[in-house]
Amino acid sequence: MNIFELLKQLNKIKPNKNYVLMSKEKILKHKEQNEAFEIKASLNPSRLILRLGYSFAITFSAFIIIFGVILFFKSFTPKLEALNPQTIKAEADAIDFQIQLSKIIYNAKENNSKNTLLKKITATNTEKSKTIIEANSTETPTNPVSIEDVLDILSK
Amino acid sequence: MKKNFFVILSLILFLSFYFIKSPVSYSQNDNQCVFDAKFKKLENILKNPDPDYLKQYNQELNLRKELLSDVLNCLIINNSNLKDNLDKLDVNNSFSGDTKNKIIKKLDEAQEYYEFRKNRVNSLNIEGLKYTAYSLKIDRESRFIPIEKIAEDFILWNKNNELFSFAQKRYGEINKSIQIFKPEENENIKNALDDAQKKLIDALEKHNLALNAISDFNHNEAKDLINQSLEGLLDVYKAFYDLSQKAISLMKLNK
Repeated sequence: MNIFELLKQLNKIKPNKNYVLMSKEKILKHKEQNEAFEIKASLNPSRLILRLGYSFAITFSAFIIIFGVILFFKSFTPKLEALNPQTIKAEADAIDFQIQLSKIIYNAKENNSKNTLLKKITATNTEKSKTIIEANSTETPTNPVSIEDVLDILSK
Repeated sequence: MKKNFFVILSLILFLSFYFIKSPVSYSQNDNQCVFDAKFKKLENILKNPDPDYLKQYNQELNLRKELLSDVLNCLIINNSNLKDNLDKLDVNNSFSGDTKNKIIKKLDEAQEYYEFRKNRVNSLNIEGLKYTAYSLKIDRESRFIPIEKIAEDFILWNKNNELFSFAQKRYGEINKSIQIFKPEENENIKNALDDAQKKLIDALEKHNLALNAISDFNHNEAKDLINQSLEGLLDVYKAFYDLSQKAISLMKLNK
């Protein structure tokens, strides 16, 4: 028999009708069952929590990895901003401010304005410019009679 | 929309935590330490005594009592404020902590002394008031003014300490950054770096010695060392600036 004729005959092969119906029914039924199971499972609170936990864990790990990589590269990259003249100048200004403040305190007379000055140093660390203006303004004592003056007259 | 709302809310919370600081309040004691009017009145009474001896005596007695009470009230408030200011300071090591406690203890002794004198004022006659004023003057000169000065030195020193911490951190960062210019191969950079380090060590030594002087209640030495350490620290920053300029010119050359 010629091979072509054999192939033509193969074309005519058809499944048993009963078998087709049975198989179709089985396949469709299985699919329906699977869908119903999946919907039911996704609504299960324990499965929901588990899935939520997994997503959180994955997100958290991703964050850790990203930050870790950033920090790793940052620690190996030299900070050139440390050499920024503007930053250095700003810190030097703070020292200059402190020098002026110490001069004011040490040159101030023995009176209560001195105590006011010290209160201002501790109270307003951040408001430097404001403080020095106030400190300078208290340099001129508003009270010319000091405690020592009063004690002098009271001893006589 | 909901996401935006949460972002804005977190931003507001962050900013409010960042900017709102606990308010530091101090009692206003300025009026407590103004003696001008009573001082002039007493001067006047002593210069122009009333012919009526009893009237003169009572006027003088009352005025002396008032003035001495005012002085003691002022001293108590000033002393207490100084102690509060010391209490609020954050100290970063045990030696400065011990020094702070030592000063606070002395201020407490002064407070007790002033309170004791104040409670006795009303029962004294003119002679007793004169004697109290005199002994208060002597005790202040020999004991309490030096403590006040030391307390002020410590407050200044503690503020300087923050600046020294900044400078040490800055030096560390500069030292790290400058390595890209290979200081071991570049003498100019190496010398500038060494100079900054030497100046920082010198200034730090003076700063530490200032704390020793404060701890020994040696105001004059503490004052000198505080001033020298600050001047030294300013020199350190001049060296940092010099170093940054050298680094910038090197970067421009390499471009």
